[in-house]
Amino acid sequence: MFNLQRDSHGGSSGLQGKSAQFNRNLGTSTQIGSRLMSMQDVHVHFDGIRALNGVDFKLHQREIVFLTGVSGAGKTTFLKTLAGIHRPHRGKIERPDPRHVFTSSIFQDLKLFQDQSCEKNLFTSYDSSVYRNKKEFESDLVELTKMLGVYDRLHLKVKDANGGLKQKIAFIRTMLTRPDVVLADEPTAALDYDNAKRIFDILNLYNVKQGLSVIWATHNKDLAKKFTGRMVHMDKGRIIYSGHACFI
Amino acid sequence: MFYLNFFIKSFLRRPWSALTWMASAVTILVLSFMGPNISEYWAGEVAKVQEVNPYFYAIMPKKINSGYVKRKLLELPGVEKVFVLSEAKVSAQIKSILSAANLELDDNLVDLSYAGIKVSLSPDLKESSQDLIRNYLTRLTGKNEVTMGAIKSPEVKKVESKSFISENRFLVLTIMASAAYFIALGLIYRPLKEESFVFEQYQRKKQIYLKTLSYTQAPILVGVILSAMIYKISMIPLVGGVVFSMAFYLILGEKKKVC
Repeated sequence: MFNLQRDSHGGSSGLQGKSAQFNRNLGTSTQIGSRLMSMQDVHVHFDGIRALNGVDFKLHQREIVFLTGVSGAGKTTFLKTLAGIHRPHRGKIERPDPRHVFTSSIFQDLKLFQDQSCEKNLFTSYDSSVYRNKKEFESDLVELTKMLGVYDRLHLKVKDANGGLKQKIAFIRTMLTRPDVVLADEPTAALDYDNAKRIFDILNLYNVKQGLSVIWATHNKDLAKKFTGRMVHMDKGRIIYSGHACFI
Repeated sequence: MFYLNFFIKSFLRRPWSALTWMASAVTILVLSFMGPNISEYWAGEVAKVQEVNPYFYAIMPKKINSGYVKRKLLELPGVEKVFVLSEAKVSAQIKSILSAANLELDDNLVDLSYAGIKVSLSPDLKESSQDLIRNYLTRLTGKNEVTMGAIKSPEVKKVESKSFISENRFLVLTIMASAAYFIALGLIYRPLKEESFVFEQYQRKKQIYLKTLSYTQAPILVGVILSAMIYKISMIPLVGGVVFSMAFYLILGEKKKVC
């Protein structure tokens, strides 16, 4: 059981009331579970620009969602609002209690420490409350870096790394947090199809084995169509389609 | 430990900001420890320029421990300061004493194996008390061992007006230290906030910025509060400055969006 936290602004009544409780039963089933996060009539604007304009959205456990749309459609604002980085000016957001469900993000600008090595950047994710010891963390680190073929380049400083390596490091850093939800903003923008597929395969593996939920924002609709998951298409701050890619 | 480690690592990435913070923190801690007494460290220099106390010179053989004599003299009421003189100054004083006695001697004949002291007395000391001090010095060193010059009583120079800074040295120093601390925190708060944000995204920790700043600045806060308990009202500007700086950057950091 875990609690849902609510962010809300605007005219809706009773939004600060009791948190709803949801059953959580990870690891026993691969089918989509109960509602994990939701947005109801969410509006976010910056200096008069409506970045999100009445967005309704639900994310369920074990769900993979591709968020598509052209640049400026509101994908990044959508992810940041869902992550709690931006507060909505109107509407309601429900999130699970972060003590029980950990949400980690892959940012579009990656947010890596430029003057540190790739390995040190990965150690940002070392949390003694998650890992029994550093060896366990290092074992995960080695496994993931080998899967993405960057193990031999971990000594490089981020400022000396190419775009693809940076993106893989940012992805691995997120996965090393052992998240329950991943909010990925263009995580493969600097990668070719094969590498993007490899990243999707890892996410898919975590999705099946550990019940990971993913929201993957991309402006490349064709890429999203090749993967399995629900597709949500945004335009001008609104969700204009939500369903399987084959129906677009 | 995580927060201290985080603070140190963040500092190592910005050595200039770190140095500024460390310098201001050390200054504040020294001021807290010394309190208003720190002003006395400048007082000596000023006193030399504006000498108003009667004084006399004394020379004695080097075999007599002038440090010991100084300590004993300072225990007497009416003795304000005792300076141990350099060899060159002793030589000059010997010549001065000899010339006062109308004795002219060749430089080579002057024995420099003497130690010299200058004893500065309280301005309002009676002549009889001055004699007592001189007698005590004679007893300390031995009757035939010490030669004392006459007591000189310089005219009291009336200081027309002192500047605000020289009158309120400690206050000025505390304000400057508080301002330096405010600037130093200003240099570190933003990078600390940005790095805290990143760590919060990848670890199950919240409010890293708030906790790091609180834990690492706590010793400074404790230092100034303790000093306020000891030195009372004179520490208020420093306590005020440190508390204001911390509160300002804690609130600003919490409100500031870095993403």
